[in-house]
Amino acid sequence: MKISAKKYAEALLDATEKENLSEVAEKLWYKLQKDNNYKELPKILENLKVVYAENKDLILTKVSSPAPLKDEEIQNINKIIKDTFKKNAYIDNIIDPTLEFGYRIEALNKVFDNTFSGKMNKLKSHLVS
Amino acid sequence: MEALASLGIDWKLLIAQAVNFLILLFILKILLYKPIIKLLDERKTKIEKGLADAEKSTKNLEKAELDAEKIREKAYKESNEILENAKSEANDEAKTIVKKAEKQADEIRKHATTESLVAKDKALKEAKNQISEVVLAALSKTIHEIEPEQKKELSKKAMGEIDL
Repeated sequence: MKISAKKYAEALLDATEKENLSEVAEKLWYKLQKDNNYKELPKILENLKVVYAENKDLILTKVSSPAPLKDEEIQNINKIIKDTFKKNAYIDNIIDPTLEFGYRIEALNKVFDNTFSGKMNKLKSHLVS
Repeated sequence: MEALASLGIDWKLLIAQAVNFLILLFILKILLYKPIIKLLDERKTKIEKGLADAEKSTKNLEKAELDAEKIREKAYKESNEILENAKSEANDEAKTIVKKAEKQADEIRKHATTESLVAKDKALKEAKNQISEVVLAALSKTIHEIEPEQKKELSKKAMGEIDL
């Protein structure tokens, strides 16, 4: 029976709370190789974020920015998430220099994008339509 | 007898002649009169038959003429009907052809209109694409040229605009 990426993620999270990380990583890689499932690793890690946020009762918030977020920015975003969803944010920062400036925030079913790239896309849609 | 003798008539001769006459009459009746009567009767019958035939022929002719007239009238009527039918069919056919031609013309017109609209839309879309590309290229060039500090300032400003 094939184990889903979410199941791997749940098991991984459980293991990280009990054992040390290097051992957990080693065991995971061994298991993936044994099951010939190592191509699932990106999906497992993606699911790990979701499962972690669910377990900690946090809002998984994907923030794309041209540079790594500074503490002040993380605090600001966390405040916005808390104001909006009444829960703390678990911020997953995706760095994309092509965005030039601004932030693209995805939380639950909401998306906000004020990056240069996003603005350009909106402008393009507006000009073409 | 004496009286007859005084008139110069020999009564014996008279009787003999009378007898001769009767004999001649009898012979004539047997040999001539009867065949002639028969011949005349036959002739009469033939003539009557001829007259009857002629009358019959006349009647037949009249009947034939009437029949011919009827046939002519019927033929005339039928030919008229055929003509009318042919005219009606020709009219129907003509109407169908005209209708078909109108439909085809409509389709061609619609097709041409659609093609024209499509071409117009395409041209408009291409123009918009080109304009947007130029605008976006200009903006991209501008943003690439600004200093990192200015980008940080823009990001700072963007943080204040976040509204989920």
